[in-house]
Amino acid sequence: MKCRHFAFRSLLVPAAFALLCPAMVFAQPAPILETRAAPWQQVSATRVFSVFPEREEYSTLDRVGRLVLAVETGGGGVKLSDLAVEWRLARGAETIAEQRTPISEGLIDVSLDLRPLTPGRYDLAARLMKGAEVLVEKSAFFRLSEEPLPPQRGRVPVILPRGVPVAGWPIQFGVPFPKGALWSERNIRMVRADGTPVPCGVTVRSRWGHRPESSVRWLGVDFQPEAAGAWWPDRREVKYYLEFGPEVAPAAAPRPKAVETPDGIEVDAGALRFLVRRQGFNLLDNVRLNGAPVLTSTPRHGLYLVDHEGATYRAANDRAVALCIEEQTDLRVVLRAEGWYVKDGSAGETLSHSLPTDKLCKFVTRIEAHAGKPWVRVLTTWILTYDSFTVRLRDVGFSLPAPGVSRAAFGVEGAPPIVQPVGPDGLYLIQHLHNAFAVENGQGQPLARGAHSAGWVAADTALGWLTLGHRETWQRFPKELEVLPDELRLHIWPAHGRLHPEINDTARDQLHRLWFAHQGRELTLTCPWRYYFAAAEYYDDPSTSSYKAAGHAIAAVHAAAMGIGVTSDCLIQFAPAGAEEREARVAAAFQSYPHALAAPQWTCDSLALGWQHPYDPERFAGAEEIISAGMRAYWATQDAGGIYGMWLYRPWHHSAYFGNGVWDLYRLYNGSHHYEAVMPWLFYARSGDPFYLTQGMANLRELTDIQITHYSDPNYRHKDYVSHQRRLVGSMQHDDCIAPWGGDHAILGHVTCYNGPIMAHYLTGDLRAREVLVEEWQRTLVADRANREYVTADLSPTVFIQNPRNNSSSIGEILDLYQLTYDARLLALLAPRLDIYLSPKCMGADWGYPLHNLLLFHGSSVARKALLDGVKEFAATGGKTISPENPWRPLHSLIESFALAGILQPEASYALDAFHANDLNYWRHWVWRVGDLEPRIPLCPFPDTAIYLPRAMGALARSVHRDTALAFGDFQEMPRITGRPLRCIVREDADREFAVHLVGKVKQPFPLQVFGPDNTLLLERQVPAGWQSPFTVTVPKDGKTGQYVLFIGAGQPDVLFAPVTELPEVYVTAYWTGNNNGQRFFTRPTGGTPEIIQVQPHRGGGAILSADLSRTLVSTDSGEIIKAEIGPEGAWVYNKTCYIGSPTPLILSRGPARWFAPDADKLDLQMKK
Amino acid sequence: MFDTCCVRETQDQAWRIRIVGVLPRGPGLFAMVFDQEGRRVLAAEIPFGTHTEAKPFTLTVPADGAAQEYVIKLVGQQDNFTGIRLPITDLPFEVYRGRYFAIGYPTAPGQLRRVAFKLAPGMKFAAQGHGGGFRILDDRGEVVADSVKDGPKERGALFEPALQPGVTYWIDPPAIVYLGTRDPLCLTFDPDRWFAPSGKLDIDKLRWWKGLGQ
Repeated sequence: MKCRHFAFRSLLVPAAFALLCPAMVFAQPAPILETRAAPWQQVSATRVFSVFPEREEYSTLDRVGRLVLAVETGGGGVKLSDLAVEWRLARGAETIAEQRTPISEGLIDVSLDLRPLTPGRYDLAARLMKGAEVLVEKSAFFRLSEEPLPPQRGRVPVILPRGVPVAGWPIQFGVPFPKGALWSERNIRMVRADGTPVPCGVTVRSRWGHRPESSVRWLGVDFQPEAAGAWWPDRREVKYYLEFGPEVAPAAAPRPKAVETPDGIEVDAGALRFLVRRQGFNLLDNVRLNGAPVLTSTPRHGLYLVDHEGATYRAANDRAVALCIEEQTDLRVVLRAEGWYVKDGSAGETLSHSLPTDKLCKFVTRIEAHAGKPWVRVLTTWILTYDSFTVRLRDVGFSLPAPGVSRAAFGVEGAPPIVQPVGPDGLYLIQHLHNAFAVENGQGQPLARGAHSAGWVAADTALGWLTLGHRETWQRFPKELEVLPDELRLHIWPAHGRLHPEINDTARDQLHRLWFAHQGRELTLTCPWRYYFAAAEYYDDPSTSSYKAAGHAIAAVHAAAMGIGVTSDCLIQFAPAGAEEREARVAAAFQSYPHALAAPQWTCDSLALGWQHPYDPERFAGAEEIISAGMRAYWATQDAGGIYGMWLYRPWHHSAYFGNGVWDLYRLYNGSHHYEAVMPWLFYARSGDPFYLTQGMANLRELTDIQITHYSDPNYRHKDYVSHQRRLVGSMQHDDCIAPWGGDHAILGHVTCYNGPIMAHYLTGDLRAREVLVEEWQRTLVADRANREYVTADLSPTVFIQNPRNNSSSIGEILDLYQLTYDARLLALLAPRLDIYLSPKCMGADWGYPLHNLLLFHGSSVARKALLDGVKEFAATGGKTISPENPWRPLHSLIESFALAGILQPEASYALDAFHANDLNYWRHWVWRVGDLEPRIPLCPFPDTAIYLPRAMGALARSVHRDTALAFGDFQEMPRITGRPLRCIVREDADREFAVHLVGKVKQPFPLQVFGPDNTLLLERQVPAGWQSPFTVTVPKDGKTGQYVLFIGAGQPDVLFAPVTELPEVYVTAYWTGNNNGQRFFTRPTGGTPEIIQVQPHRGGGAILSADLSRTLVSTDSGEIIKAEIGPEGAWVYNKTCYIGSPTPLILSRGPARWFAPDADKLDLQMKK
Repeated sequence: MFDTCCVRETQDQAWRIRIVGVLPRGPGLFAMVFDQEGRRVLAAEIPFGTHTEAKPFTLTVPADGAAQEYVIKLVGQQDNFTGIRLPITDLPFEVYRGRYFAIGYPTAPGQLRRVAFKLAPGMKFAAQGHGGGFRILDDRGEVVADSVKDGPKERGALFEPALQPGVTYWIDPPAIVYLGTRDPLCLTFDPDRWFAPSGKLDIDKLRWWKGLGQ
């Protein structure tokens, strides 16, 4: 390598140590900020040398860049210690920087200062050297472009989606910032709407680059707002703003103190002081409330479990608990403890996955204290480390000392608490079914019963009130809250568990509920054989194939539960005597999970979630209905099937609800096969609808506890039934098993969606989610690649032509993880996978977010060109041909490709095409049908459309066609029938020009004729075949008012939306088609007096609905004639099938506001031949 | 590996399924026994773990008044099948019937398991090996057919050497081979135990999975 300006000089970098580059004499200041070596496992059988600039497109807002050079020797006698890399960065002929450095650990990570560089292209040449021998040469490049700074100061509206029930409730949430807007987390402050500062705490969750010089991308914010009503659904009142700017400083806050001591960590949060012990970890000790002692613990308190032989294991017995301050802000401190449950009386030395063992199960516990608050949040994860075929548990929970308990109050949803005196044997509330709890005394005698525990118990102790709350208690049954005379216990698995012999657990409507793991005295996670036989019988097919229901049942029979976890979200409250009512309010507030968000418009504008459009029902009514109704429909099917319980609360499903409480057993529960896990978080962030927060939090625990593996014992040789895979930490379950913890799994591939937990972490600050992502998933990805289970779990090198989804999804996932951690090794992982992705026919744009992330983060010019060439060719050929050299392939969610193309080329029609690509008219009907619990509708395709809709909306809103967004309406197809033009009549009340928009897909050209109020033909057009987005004709202002008749010659194969004008508009027809995509048209009697409306859907479903859509007046599932007397208020004719007919023509409209009675002459007018 | 075992009594008797070997994976196997009328006379789990010669896991099928054939149907994970030592019953006749077998699991380091079979009258041998070829030896160890040398080269085509009914042959796999046959084949490791099931009970037509789900 020859340098024009100076000779290549060697710079040896000591391995594993960061080395600041000494000042070198360049034509401009040296751009090397730092060079680091990092360990990169040598697992490839062939030599791999990756030279990877972190991005192809940098802007001046980035300030820093990164190069990663990684090698895998591939064996063959080549040792890493013999190798070095030489690299040179040049702008044209000018050398900007160069280095020679050993690469003895496999990876070199170079940080570049972009600030001294001028915009332009920079070329990187690198050589892998063995002495003087060049083994491999590679080149790459990046571009630096000038980008103006965004506003450096501003106010971010902070919304409280579900309000704040208790004044001063501590809330933590995430606020995104555009690149280049916020450079230091100290330059912010929270203010009320009137500008009054309030204390807040902050922590940086992600930057726009890998070093502190990069601006803040996601900021974690704590504050303690006043009591407030819910922002949703009115979406008006903003009570707080987060101000930022160089001169902005936070208001003073009563920062909690956390101090390391020989015993552990002492926390002073103002009102509450306590000790968390490292030795003898028993949650809390020496607790003082305003100086008065309220809790003194002993080694028998804290986390514990009991095995099926009766031995007790306690966290307090672990002598090697790892305890640290994990996060601290001005308002909050989080301590993290990790260790083992160790058997009483043992040395804690032996570890076996079967009994006997000294150590059984791990815990990761977070103790979170808030400034000034007399409570502590405990987020504790119990991780199973045993062979579930040989070990069962009798009790899992934690206990708190509570001396002198005289009475207890158990919270009940929707009812006053149950208050009982506490006798010598104590009492307990057991939530033994999702809809049934019992309060019993220590002898098991019933005291009270009910449906839903509110998840808390308060004990009146000698030292005041001690209250223990647990979120989602009935939803995650069985659970038990127990009060003893000197102790309070939460049983994560009950000590007083009960069997329900009245439940036939393998009945068709029960089998999916996995009763074997949700009832009984002992926790057993071994699925009985009869589940397999029952499934075989229900499907009359015993096949154990991975594509059969019985195969998924037998997979459950063989599913090992080692490595799954259960996270319990708890609140421990302390109060003096007499504070009973307030304690109940606080406990209820904890259950309601108050939360905050940056305003959706701000979040979407920041691009921190990528190209997204905020909730916009005014412009995109149909798309918003698909999202909102679809997510609620998903939830409703789960409710209908009774899918509750600690092992299966709010998972995702590949398949369908079958009706009558029955679920399809084929791919019953999945981790995130179609990227479902991202849905609630994306939709929450862009809307502020708190329903998604509830759904997202519930799924977060299911996904990150049970469907991701947290522990693996190398001595445990069990293999899953279908995949023959063993445990692999950080891997996510797919769906080939009716037990959510079993079946096949992957760490990269189309079956994973770690992006859901990533978004959850940004939005909520959930540290358990981050831990699963970083300490488990990422750790395996970059540091456990030699694990032989890795190969079967990493699907990313797998590419089937026309189905490159495994590789594609991985590109998106790696880039999302990278922006969370900026671990340089992820780029070494990405580089060869990206080579595959950009190969001919291998670029799947729409399984996860690969292309989006590649374009927005990395700026790949190859990907951009492939996409734009591809969609152009696709549009030109009707999708028939795509160049074989083009990496881009049209896969199953074309909406994403067209949306991205529309964003890149807002002047083209792609943003409009995105709305045609996935048959949104079909999806509109789909959400109605699923919401109505119509059986046998597979759920998995929904996210294939839904997760890209916000992007499609954004593309259209940014495009030159933005004004046509309204034309899509709610994706209702117009009534039509082949061979007979639709008579559409519009009413013009004041003379004006008006447009007729035909939006949709046209199979065959057809005529459009418009007749004026005087029944003369005003204009005639031929509507061409193809996607119309829209086809528009303008009816000029003509000095007349009245009714215009439009004859629209569309046939059944054409999909065109209604309405077509902004005017009052009706359709007159006695027979029409909706192509099974569901249509609801409003009608009413023309004479103002009640009339009988009669329709008959053709061999399918239909209904007549009340004017306010709240009631079904009459319906059929199989095509009988239905009729109803309709008054002047009108009614809706709902056609669920392909055709529907009426004995006489009906006057239909898209709603009451558009309906009018046409004049008689308009009904007689005929289309001109 | 197999999943269907046919056995024959010479006289009515109580007889035992006797499991010896290592079943490494939980939960083990599930065994069903059907008499030749298709009645299920036993259904039981075979627990995973090590079952030694000294302490085998046993299931007893009671005498039922008729000397007859039975079909033993086993369900479970592959690794648990391969760990079972054969024969599994104390009856004099025991064959392993099916159209798809995994054969060639070593009994000792360096050794591969040969399996014996006979053709019932009128039956022809037609098979293909997945994952490798195989040789067919006669009872003296002489090679009578070699699927690699003599078999069809087209993918998916069956190897159909001319074999004689009633003669004992051995399949000799060079490694673990998955053997698919056109017609059900009855294999044994002990030619003295081989018999041709009467066919009174066709397990393929029996809904053997019914009635065990409650």
